[in-house]
Amino acid sequence: MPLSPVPAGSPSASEAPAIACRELRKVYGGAEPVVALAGVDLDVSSGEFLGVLGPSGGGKSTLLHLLGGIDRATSGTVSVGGREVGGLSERELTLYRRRDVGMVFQFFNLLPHLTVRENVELPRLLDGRPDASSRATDLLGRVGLVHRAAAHPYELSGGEMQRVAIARALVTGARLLLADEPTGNLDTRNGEQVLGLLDEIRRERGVTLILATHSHAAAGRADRRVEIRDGRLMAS
Amino acid sequence: MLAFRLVVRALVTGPARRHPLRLVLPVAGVAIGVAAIAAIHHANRSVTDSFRDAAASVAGRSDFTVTGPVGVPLEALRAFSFLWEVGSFAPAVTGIVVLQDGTGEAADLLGVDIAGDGAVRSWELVAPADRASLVRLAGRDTVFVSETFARRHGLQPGSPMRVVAGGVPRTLTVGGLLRFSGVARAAGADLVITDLTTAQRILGKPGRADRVDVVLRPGADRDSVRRTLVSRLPPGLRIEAPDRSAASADRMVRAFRFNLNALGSLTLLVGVFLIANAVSISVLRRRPEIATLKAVGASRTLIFAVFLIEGAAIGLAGTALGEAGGVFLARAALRAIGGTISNIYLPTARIAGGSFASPALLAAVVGFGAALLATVIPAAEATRVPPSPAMRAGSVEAVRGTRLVPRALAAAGALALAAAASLLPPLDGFPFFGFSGVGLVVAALALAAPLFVRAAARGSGGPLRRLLGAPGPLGAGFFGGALARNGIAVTALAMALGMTLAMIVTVASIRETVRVWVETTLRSDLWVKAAAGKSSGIVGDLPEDVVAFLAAVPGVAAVDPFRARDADLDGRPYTLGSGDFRVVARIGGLPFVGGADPRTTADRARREGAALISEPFARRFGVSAGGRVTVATPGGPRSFPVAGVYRDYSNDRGTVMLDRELYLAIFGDRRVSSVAVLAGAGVDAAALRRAIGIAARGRYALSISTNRELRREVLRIFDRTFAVTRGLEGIAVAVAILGIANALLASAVERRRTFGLLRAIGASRQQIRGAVLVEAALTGLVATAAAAGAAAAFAYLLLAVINPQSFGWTVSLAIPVSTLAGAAALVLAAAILAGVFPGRLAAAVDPAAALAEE
Repeated sequence: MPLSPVPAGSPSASEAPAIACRELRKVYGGAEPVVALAGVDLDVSSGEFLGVLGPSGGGKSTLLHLLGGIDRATSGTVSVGGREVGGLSERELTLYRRRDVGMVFQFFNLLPHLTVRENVELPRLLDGRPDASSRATDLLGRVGLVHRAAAHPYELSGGEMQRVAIARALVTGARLLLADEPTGNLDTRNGEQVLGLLDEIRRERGVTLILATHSHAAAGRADRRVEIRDGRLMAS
Repeated sequence: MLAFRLVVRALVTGPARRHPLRLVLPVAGVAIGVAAIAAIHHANRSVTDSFRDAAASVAGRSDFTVTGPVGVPLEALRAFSFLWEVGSFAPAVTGIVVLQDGTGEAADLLGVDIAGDGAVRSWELVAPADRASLVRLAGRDTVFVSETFARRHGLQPGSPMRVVAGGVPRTLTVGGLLRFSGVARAAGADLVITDLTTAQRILGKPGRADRVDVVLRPGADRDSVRRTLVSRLPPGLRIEAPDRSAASADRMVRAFRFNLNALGSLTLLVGVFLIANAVSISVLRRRPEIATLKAVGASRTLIFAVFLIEGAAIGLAGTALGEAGGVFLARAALRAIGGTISNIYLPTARIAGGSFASPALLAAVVGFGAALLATVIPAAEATRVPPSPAMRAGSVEAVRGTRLVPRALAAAGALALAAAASLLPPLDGFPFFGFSGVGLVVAALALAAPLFVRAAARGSGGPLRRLLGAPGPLGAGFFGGALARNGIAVTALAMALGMTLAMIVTVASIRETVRVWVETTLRSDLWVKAAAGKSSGIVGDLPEDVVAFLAAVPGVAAVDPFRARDADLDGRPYTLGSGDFRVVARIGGLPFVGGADPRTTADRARREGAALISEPFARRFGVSAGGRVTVATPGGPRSFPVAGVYRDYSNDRGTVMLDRELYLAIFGDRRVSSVAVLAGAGVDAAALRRAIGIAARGRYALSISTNRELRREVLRIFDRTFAVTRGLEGIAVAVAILGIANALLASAVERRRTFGLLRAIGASRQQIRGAVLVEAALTGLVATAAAAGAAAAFAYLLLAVINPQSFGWTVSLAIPVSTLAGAAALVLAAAILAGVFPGRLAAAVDPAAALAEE
């Protein structure tokens, strides 16, 4: 069942986030501090599909973590939809992650002891919404996995798991979708399917999609590509 | 070897160094179990050793001892004269005196032939100094005490010593002090020695000795002497091993010690589950490493050995700590147990702390062995981890899940076996099959626990979601997701709580049964016995004339003298008692098994010269109403018909009661142990007590209780006996709660990435804390529900199988609902509290760091 482009209860496409990063730095402390991001400036338009290309350890995941509000920058600013993410309180940051961002990971990160349906429902449930079940059904239909709703993640193939993860990322009606090496753990065919699905959904829903990958082919699907290496952004 | 070391480092020492806190709880679990076992065994061992030492000191060097149903008449010593050619013999009179110096302590009194006793027992007079003066000093009312005793009671040679002996106040004189060795060691130095004649007189045993100890010269033919002596002894007298009194005393406190042992073992069993839990968690947590190691060629044996080493290390550390703690716990346990024994069971028992070596060794072997045993199953589990699927989260639990059906079948089988075991009779008087039943119920619990966990997790997700929102199904998911770990935590808590609840029911049932029995049987207004100082029971006896004295006090309507003395049948001790059956025939009050009418039964027994036997006697010796019982009498063994079996909860050895007239005619023993007094119509019991006290002043030293006081005293003694068991139950439950904290803590650590992910997709800290608390609450709830079922099984086995087989008592079921509910609620609250810290730990996970770990 296809989704409507703008789900009920979500901001309209015109309110979709425009992202602006300024002088974004992230340094991990320790005996030898590691500079993961060394002053990144980046703008992403609303509804854009941005490919962030780079080798392992280049800073792709760190950038996505800062954009997704699961880590805080050492310095610099991240603005999403006009909101300064770094300035959010802990509670506001939790709500930001819950409502405004959907994340897809390389290793799927599904909860093994919950069923497929429960995994998808979870973020909506965390938000206390009563429609978690119907939305999960819609999204599972969209990713073609309604028939596996009662299965546990360990009963699925890698491609199926990633499709569940995509459904989960979308269940709250997030306008920003961050995909961190979503094909890194999949074979070529499944990888292609997942990328295709992400792009389709992006178009259907008008969400902003940022894909971090080390694959030129994957990044090639994006509207625009940037490359990140040693924590610095360079034109691609 | 290097490979082995590397594997050990990868799986055991490395993680232990990185997360030493994870080892704290399992080590603490073993330590508490070992400490409890060591302390209880030490206390029990000390009790046995003290009884044996006391008996051995009195028995001296004797090869055997001659006794009789009412002692050995001195004229019977003529039969011993042939012994002078092969050795010697010495008569002794034993009894108890209660000191009137403000301490209220009881001491054993030993009356011997001072001049001739040296052949049997060792003496060493230290004040005055030479042995010869002992004989010179010995005289009427002169006693000898050990230096230790004299110091404690402020005595010296020549001091007067005021005591109550045989219910009469006496003033004795200290003739000399003995070194604390030989016979003076008996009863932990609380022994007063006097000459035979004085002892006979003040204890009311004229012309008799309680025992004659025989010592043979080296080389004498022991068997031949024994045979000759047997042939010459008058009827009724018998030869026995010198230390038999120790066995007898030991048996008296058997029920009490048995209780302690059972609960000490329970604590260790809970500790075993904690270890199993810890190692199981290790295996689950390290399955990627195990898979990797197997992928690079580590054998199953190697993996098994490594986890066994971990279990051994936990066992070793826990045992070492437990032994150290056991030393301190042992002191407290010995104080409590020794105090209970001397206050309730044996007034002159002085329990000295014995060597700690044997209890320490036993606790170490049991603790370490249990640790290894607990490790075997999870270690075997580790060997089955396949390299590739193990990398996928949940796979091990999924594999376990497929074994739930055989588990359910095995649990049902264990329960069926337990039911079958409950039907079997005791083995040599020991309820072996009853205890096997308890073990089988524990096994069924352990087998079924994962099923309970799975069912609860599946069934609670929906309702919890409606009730609590997202944390509900999340917590239920966590709970069901760790089947093995939570299964073990549930088992440990259910076992400890189940046994505690069962003990609450058992103790309440026995207490209620005793209370009702006391209400029914205690019909007299006053109960009179010899002044007992600070002891609770009967200490010494009263002269016969006290009966007439009491009957003559104005206001007394009737008196019922009661006599109880130790006897044995086929080497097994019991109590031989006598009372006035006419009183029972008139006022009833003695409940009979099978509902026989006490009045007619007592009347018939009196008329037909029959005996009444107590229920424990009937069970122990397999005698019932209509049968016959053989009693050793001064005239030789004599058989009596049994008119009825009455309920008796005052001792578990069993009692044979004869009507006083018949008893006096056969035994000639006219002294009484206690006297029940019935007040005349309209006479106030308290006033009558005062009147008796005034009339007895200077003549008798009596302890007089009113009916109400006596009832209260019986229940006070009962509660005190079980006070130690309450402490042990508390320890077992505390250890099990540690198990829950351990499992949840392990979850918090293991699910770091999950919590990170949850934070990443928008879960608040509060929601994660909530989910962990839901898991804790589900653990507590499922354990409590399982405990309720287990408690019913345990209580049935304790009340209907173990108790009747051990003590011979029929106990009516009493269920103290509020106490049970309170205990369960307390444990449930503690289980939820156990989730607070792991919940905080889980909520504090940094999502970026946790996700970066992939």
